[in-house]
Amino acid sequence: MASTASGATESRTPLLSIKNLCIRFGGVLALDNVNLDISPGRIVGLIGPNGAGKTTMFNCISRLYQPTSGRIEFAGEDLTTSTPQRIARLGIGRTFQNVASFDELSVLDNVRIGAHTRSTGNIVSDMLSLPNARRQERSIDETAYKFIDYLGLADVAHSTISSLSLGTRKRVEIARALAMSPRLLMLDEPAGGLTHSEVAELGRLFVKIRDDWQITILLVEHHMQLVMSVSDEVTVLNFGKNLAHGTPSQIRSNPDVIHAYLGRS
Amino acid sequence: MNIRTLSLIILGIALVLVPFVLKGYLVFQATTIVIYAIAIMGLNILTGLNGQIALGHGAFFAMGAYLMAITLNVWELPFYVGFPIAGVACFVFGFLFGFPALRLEGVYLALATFTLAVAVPPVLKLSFLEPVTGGVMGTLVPAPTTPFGLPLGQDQWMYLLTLLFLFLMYGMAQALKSSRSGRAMMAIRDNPIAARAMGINVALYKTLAFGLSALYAGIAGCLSALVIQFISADSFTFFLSVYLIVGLVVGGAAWFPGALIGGAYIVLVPNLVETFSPPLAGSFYGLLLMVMMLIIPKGASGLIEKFFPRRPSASDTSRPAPREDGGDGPVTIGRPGR
Repeated sequence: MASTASGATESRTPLLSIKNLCIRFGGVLALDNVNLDISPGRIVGLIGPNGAGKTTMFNCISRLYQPTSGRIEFAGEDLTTSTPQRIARLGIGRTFQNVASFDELSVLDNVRIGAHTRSTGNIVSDMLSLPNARRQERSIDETAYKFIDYLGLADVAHSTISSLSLGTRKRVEIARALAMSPRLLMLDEPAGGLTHSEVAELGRLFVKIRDDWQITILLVEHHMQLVMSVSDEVTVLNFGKNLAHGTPSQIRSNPDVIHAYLGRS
Repeated sequence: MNIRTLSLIILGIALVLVPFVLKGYLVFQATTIVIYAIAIMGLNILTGLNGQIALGHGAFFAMGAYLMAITLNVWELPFYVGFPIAGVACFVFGFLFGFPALRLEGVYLALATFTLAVAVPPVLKLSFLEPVTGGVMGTLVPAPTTPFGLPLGQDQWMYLLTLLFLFLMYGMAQALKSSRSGRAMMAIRDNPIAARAMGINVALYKTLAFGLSALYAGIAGCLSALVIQFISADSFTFFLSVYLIVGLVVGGAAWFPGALIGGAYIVLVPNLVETFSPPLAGSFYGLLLMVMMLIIPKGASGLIEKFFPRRPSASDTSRPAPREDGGDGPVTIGRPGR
């Protein structure tokens, strides 16, 4: 199942291209000349020991951090000078490591907020409920319900986030990211805190998302079994540097990777 | 129609009947309550929806009142022109003040806005502004006469005018809350980092919330000038800003009808404690507030939520019909629900 999109996409220009990316926090070089190309339609796993710079890289791509040097190109556009709004509009959606929901709001509202950049409007027509605002609201609702159904959240659509379990919140976050109609979906440790069977279902979901919506996925995950089973390619970071890149089986047998993870010489 | 909508309609009708049931000073008091409720609703947009705390809205209230007085006395324009003038001016001023506020959060923002509340009254007293503001003495505001020869007393007419503004501005606040812009504000309140990643322009919506809350305070100020028919800088001390916050807390966050309860609290309770024991009125006021916070920490909205829990609302019916083409069933991870 992991190889459905390979071959055909191999020669295409990358959707996301990271070149010599560096970011420095005080004296720490958190990312040191990192390179990564992601072709459209692939599921790419990003792994590495704790502190390798995986989440830092996510935050550079979604412009929560400003890289010190290097380039991030998405569909040919340089992102290093773009605003976070522009990133969202270009089609990069993400979830967060420790779940960043809008806790006081309902599941429905959370997913509606995901559709924010896919809609336009202004505060005056919103406050006066003008026809264009109501039309906009209907199309936002349509998008939101589509992804609420897709993730099986219909039963809890009106529940407040703070009343939901971690597994459900993670699904809400994925639904919210899908409502952004992204071309690239970045998932930061989606399996963290989930049970064994939940993780297996999550893996099937990622492949389904890629196949149903042609969304490219960049997956940061510690759960090796999940990464290895769903990824078309895996890239390994260690101490902020590229360590290896290849298919899951290549990575599994790579001596450098084994060394980094197990610390044997 | 659910029980909440029904009770709001009944409340609305009851509010319209007030000036025909009550007489004299009580109508004036009811008008004051409604005026404060408008200002508190504005604060609720800022604090309840957007999560910013401001202690300076008395300044915008004063600005609205003075602009109404200037419209009538200096420019000699009809009173209804005063509302758009004051509304726009307060919105712009609040919007601009919102920019420095972007860098501040929580208590720091409260302090920065506090300076506004403290700085404005002395400015209004400056002697070179006297031809416009009336200086230390303040200025009289001519009350608008009852229009269309309606058989209403002056106090009844002012009450109904104020109530009309309450209904309009309640409707707009409510529309905002369930709109794209309102959700963006609430997203920023709940999780600014996630809001940014969703592509929400955080700076824009924070300053808009600031401008809107200033607009509400300004309109309330306009009405107060017309109702009291006199303004002076001493009517808009720092305490006005504090009372508005008290009303906000008592009414509860992000629930607009609570503003009326908050308004009633700040108008009626000082009189009530006065009858208990005039010398200790302030102490009773504080004690009562503390007890309130202990019993209903979330204000009136918390109390309502407890007794009338929100059921899936009428907006459910807007749910689009399921797709006919079927497709695969939903993917489920983990247990559905809680």
